This record gives sequence, structure tokens and C-alpha cells, in this order.
Amino acid sequence: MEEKQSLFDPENSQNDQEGFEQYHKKTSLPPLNNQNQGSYTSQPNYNNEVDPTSTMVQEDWEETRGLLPTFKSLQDRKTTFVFLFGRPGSGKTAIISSLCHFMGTHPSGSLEVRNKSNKEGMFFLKEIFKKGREGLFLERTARNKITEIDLRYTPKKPKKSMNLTFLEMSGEDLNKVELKRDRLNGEAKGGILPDSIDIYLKCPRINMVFLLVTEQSRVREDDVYMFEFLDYLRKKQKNFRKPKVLLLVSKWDEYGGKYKKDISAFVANHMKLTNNLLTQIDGTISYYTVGDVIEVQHEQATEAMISQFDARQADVVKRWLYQAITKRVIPKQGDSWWSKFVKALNS
Amino acid sequence: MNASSYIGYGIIGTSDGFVAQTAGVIAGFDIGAIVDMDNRQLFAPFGTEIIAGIREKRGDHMYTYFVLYRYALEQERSRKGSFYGSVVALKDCTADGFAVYNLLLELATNVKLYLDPETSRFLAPIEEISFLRPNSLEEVINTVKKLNVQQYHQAAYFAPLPNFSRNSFRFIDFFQSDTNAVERIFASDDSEVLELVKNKKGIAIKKLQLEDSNVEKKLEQLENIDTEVFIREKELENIHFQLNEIRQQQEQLGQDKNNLAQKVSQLEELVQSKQVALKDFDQMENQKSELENLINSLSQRKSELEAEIERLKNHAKKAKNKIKQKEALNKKMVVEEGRAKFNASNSFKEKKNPSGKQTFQRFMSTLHPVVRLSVLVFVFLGLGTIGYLTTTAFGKNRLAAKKENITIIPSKEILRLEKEIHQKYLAFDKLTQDSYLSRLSPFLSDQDTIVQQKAIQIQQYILSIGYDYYTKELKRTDTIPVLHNQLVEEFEVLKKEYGALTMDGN
Repeated sequence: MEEKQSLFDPENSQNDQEGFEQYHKKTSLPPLNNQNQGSYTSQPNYNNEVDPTSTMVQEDWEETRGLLPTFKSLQDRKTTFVFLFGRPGSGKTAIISSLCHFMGTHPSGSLEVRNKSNKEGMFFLKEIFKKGREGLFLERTARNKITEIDLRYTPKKPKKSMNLTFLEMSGEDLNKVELKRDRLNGEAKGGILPDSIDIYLKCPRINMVFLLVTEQSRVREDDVYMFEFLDYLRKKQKNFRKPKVLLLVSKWDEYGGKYKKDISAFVANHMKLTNNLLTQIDGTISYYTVGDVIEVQHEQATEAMISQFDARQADVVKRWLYQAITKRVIPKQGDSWWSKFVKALNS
Repeated sequence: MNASSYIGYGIIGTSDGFVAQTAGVIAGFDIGAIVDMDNRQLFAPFGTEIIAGIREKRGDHMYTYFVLYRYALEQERSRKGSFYGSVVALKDCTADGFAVYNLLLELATNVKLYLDPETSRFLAPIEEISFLRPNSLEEVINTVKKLNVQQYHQAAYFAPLPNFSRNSFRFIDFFQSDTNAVERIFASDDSEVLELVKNKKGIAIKKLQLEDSNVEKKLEQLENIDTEVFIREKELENIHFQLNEIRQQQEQLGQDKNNLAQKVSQLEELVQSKQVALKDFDQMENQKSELENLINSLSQRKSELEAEIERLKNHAKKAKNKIKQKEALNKKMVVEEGRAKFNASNSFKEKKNPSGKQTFQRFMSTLHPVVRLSVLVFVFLGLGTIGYLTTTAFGKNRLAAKKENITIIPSKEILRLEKEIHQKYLAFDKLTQDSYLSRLSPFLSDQDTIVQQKAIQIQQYILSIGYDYYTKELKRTDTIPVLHNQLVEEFEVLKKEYGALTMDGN
């Protein structure tokens, strides 16, 4: 894994100005304007919202200085954050659940909880395994709650482990990135994520990969939505100019159109903006399904259940995560030199 | 002081994720961040309801929220943890629990109208629910008092609340006056909720010590309210029923509209096809005249051929006559030549024997009778040979006549030409029929029975007609164009009628 450089330590800093400059140097903030020291005005305004990287003044620095301990604690986690982005109900929680369930139960590797002090994460994982056994989905994620699930995964081959932290958050909170008109006064609002989420995106020198989740039936309306988020990311940090992104089209089992066997063509056709941006940043596209889902009646209540778990796509995403995090590839069955040799002989 | 500066209210729910409509002091608040239920701690299972009291310090102000959660399903998903309900917010103040609960009920009932009565699934998004100033708001405003609690603990717990509908107002009063103030308290009388909280272990469970002040009086009021709620629920059911009927009517109207639009588009297509058919008809007319020209030219050619044959026949007749004349001449010449030879031989005999006949008779008389008979036979044979040779000469003349191109009559050629012409007529006949039939096919499947019947009539007519080769006339009258024009006129009338219906917006 890439060795992380620690950020400016506020406790050892001689003065604010020094810390400010050091912070600035290590993040993607624009250069100081010599003619107007202390103010930053070089970036274009984004969606009428205050771009934290464009108009930073001393007051902003004060605010940022307050965040530095949080930044440091995030950096010290020595993990890669897996940021799932998507609308409410798009399947983010289901993807995390099925991935954890797959990595924990499939003999191709082993999963362990990395941070025992993270009780919320452990509790969430427990719920995943409990519900996964019964083929049940987790409840919808409530607003204003971010759950970190700290895990370590070690595949059978190669033996190198990867540390990853899933960020479980509500689609309603992520929707804030979308620019909307206020129903009451017609004013533009949104275009900025809540602070509790934004802190991960603001924090420099942490490893992060992004899973963009869009429901197959809502891809057209999600096109601009995904574009807005990727654009938001690119403006957040220099590191995010070319983020590691995997676009997952979820609930693929429900799709029966002409692009069923060609997800790239599906995205190219229905999500032109996102597709173009993904091409530029070398993003990856795939689909996702947890398997066959049925609705069962418990007395009068209706509940969705997985009747047949499909592990194939969980395996695809696991491999992508492993490669994105460790820069190594988990070999597929029949990829060993001996298998190749035997295959070559046979052919 | 304006009530909207210290009281807020709204409707909440997860029609497609959490959505709220708020008014008063919480208008424009991101209320979801405060009142959305944390499903890791608890949620409302089917048929249950939960009441919550929540405190929030916002700047220098203390906000107290009361929230009513009821089980629901999202519009397009069946995720657990979905709900609908209402919220009442008090800024730096308290209000009578009874009034607040009444307001919560009124707001929640408003949302209930937009849920499927059987499954509790959202039928419309929260944003689209009509949201007016509730009647119970005045009562809350009238009971507002200054808030004494300024601090609270960052803690939350769940409290079983037996007899929910009777004790909810007492819960609200308790929350506002609790000296050991906490951030959140959830309460429900449902054992399923309690079991859920126990299993999830995300939140503590505590018993409430509810106050008993004015309980009797309030319970009496509550009885009255219960009656009122019952009446209102009946009204609501009625409204629901009417609403469903209206929805059905709307759907029906929508379907009718779609059907009409479809019909109009079909008719438009029909007009277009008819226009195309008319064009085809013109083309057919042109083709017909071309074919007629062709038939005329073929007929002309036939006449020419017949004339030629006639000429050849005459020629052959003349040739035959000539041969006959020549034959006669030859015969004459042979006879004359024979006569001349005969005369010449007679004169020679006269010089030696004055009478040849006499000499011959004398000679014959000298012969034996058998020999005499043989001589006579020989003479006759000789004469026969002469006759044969004459005939052969005539045969030679016939061959000579052949060499002069006097051929046999070419009747096969005439038959072939006639056949060819007949085939042309048949082809023309088939072409005409096919064209008419192809143009008729859209009318044959027309939904309008009158149009269809007329089309069938025309079809039968077309199938019965054909070219009479021998009279060289198409047995067709102007019936087809006439019927066609009738169909177009009837269609225009229909189109106007449908158009009029569509214009009315129905």
C-alpha cells in the first residue's frame, strides 16, 4: 500500500501562518495571491456555492485548523475508505452487505474486523451476517448517520491483506450534492454535501476509492447526478482529479433490455455525461445483482428477500477493490503458470 | 408575537427516501437530519406507531420536536424502516401535550389519505401531498408557555407506553417537564417494537413516570376527541372511497383519451394510406392505358400478320395456278411432240408400205395367237411407260415450284401470337385485380364495420371482374372509384367527430 505522508501537526506548529502555508502546500488549495495576501480568488465559482478551495480566507483557515485533528485521525487509520455514492434505495447498503457476506463466507479468502473499538461498525457487520444468513435485506439507512465498517481482507492468493473501511451513509444525505430549487422560495439550494460526509473528501492524503451506485431503472435521471458528484470530487482535491471509480448499475437482474449482455453499451447509451467523464478518469463500469429477489408476505406486511444469492458480481467488485487498493491482481482459477502451461500444451 | 416564529409543524415520510414538508418555525430546515428514525435502534413494523420527543440546541435556541411515526412502505420498494407521520416543533417554548398530540394526529391523518389502505404503501410522493394550515394549530398556540429546560444529556432511550392513544399526550407533557432532560425518547405500546429494540440493542429501555395532573379531565376530552377522530376517520374512509372512484374515473378518462388519440392516429394513418391508394390508382390508370396501348399495338401486329398470311395465301394460290398452267402446257407439249413423232413414222412407212396398219395386221396374222397376245401386252406396257414418264415430268415441275419459295401456310406462328396476346391480357387482368385488392386490405381490417362491409363488397366485385380477351374490354365500371370516394367521405365525417371529442379535452 502507498505510504501516507502525515499532514501538518497543529500541535507542533510554530504559528498559524506557518501551519496555514504548510497545509496549503500539501493540499490542492490554489496558490496564494501575492497582491491580496490571505485571500484566494482564482477558482471559478461552482454552482453559486462557496467552493472551499476557491475563496479560502484566514477565517476558512481557522475552520480548517479545527478539522486538522480529525484529518489526522483519519490519516492514522491506515486504511482505504470505500465511499459508496448513490440515491436512496439504489442499493448501496445491499452492496456492502453482500460484499461483506461474500468475503466473509467464500473460501477464496478470509475477512476480519480490524478496529475492535468501532462498536457501530462491528454491530453493523453482525447485522449483515445475521440478515445474510436469512436472505434478508438491512433496513433503510437513516439520515445523518455514517457508519464505518473497518475490515481486513486476505485472499488465498496473493497472501497480501488489504485494509478497507466501508462508509455506510444515507442516500438522502448524499442527495445534497444535487443542485435543486427550493419549493418554498424557488432559490437554488444544495450543491454541497453535509459536513459529516465532506470531511472525508476534504481530508488530504487518505486513500479512497469510490463505488457509484445507480439503479438500472433510473440511469437516465442519475446521469447528471453522477456527473455532479464526480465534478464535485474533482474540485475537492487534487488527488480526486483522477479518482479510482467503479460505476455499478444495480438491480441488473430486473433489467431485460437489449444491452443485457453489454453493460458498457448500456452506460454509453443511457449515461452519456457520466460515461464520458469515466472514460477520461479511467473509471470502470460493471453491473451488480445480489441474486433473485422475491417479495414475501408476513401476515399483512411485505418484505423483500433474496431467494438465490448470486456471488459472481460480489466477486467482481472484490477483485476490483483488491486491485485498486493493493495494485495487485487476485488470479482467477486457471490463471496459474502451471494451468497456463497445461492449457498451452492441450491447445 | 407571530406563531410561526416559535411553532413549526410538518408531514414526514419515506415515499422515496426521507422527505418532509414543513411550515412555521421549521420551514426550510433540513428536518430529516433531526427526525429521521435510526433503524439500527428501532423502526415501526407493520401496523405499529411510535412517538418521539427530540431536543436540539440550535445556536442560542432550544428546539423541542414531537414526532409521530407510523408503518408505511415506499412507493417502489419494500424496505424495512419506512414510515409516514408528522412533526411539531416548539422553539424555546412548551405547549399542552394534549394539543400537540391532537395536531400530530391531524397532520398524520392528512398523509394517511395518500397511502394504500391495505398495504400502507405510498401512493404519491410526500412532496405532492396537499399541506394546509391544520385546525388544531390554534389550540397549540393558545397553550404555549416559556420553556425552562435549557440543557439536556446526549442520551436516548425507549420507553414502553401502554395504551398509546390515551397516554401519548402524557408522554409529551412528561418530555417537556422532565428535569433529567435527554436528547431523545421514543415510546410505543407495541410489543413488537419493544422486542425489536431489545434485539437490536442500539438503545436503552426505561420506564416512564408519567404525571397524573388533570388526567381525568383530559381523558374526558380525549373521549370526545376519540369520537371526533372516529367520525373523521369515517369521513376519511368516505373521502378515500370517493378519491378512489375519482382516480378510477381519471384512469378511465385517461384510457379513453388514449384510445381516442390512438383512434385519431389510426384514422390519420388511414387517410394517408388512402391518399397513397389514390396515387396508386392514378398509377394504375396510367399502367392500364400503357397496357391498352400495348394490346392495341399487339392487335395491330396481329392484323398485319393476318394480312401477311393472307398475302402469302394469295401468293401460294397464284403459284399453284401457274404450276397448273405450266403442267397443262407441258402435257400439251408432250402430246404435240408425240403426235409429231407419230406423224413422222407414218410417212416413212408409207414410202415402203403404203399402209402400216395393213402391214402390222399382216405381220400379226403370221404370228402364233399366243405370241400375238404377248406383242399386244408389250405395246400396252410401252404406252404405260410413256404415261409414267409424263407424270414424272410434272413432279419435276413441282420441285421447281418449291425452289421458287412457295412455302406452307404458317398457322403455328399465328397461334403463338394469339397465345401471347392472350397472356398479356391475362397479366393485365391480374395486375388490375391485385392492385385493387392491395389497396383494399387496410379497409378490410378496419374497425368500423360499415367501412369493412363496403370493402368486402368491393373485394368480391374485384374478384369477379376480368378482361374479356375476345371482346378486348375490361368488364369494369366506375363502381370502385365511386365506392372509394364514399369511404373517404365517411372517414372524414368520423374524423371530425373524433376530433371534436379530443378538442373537448376528453
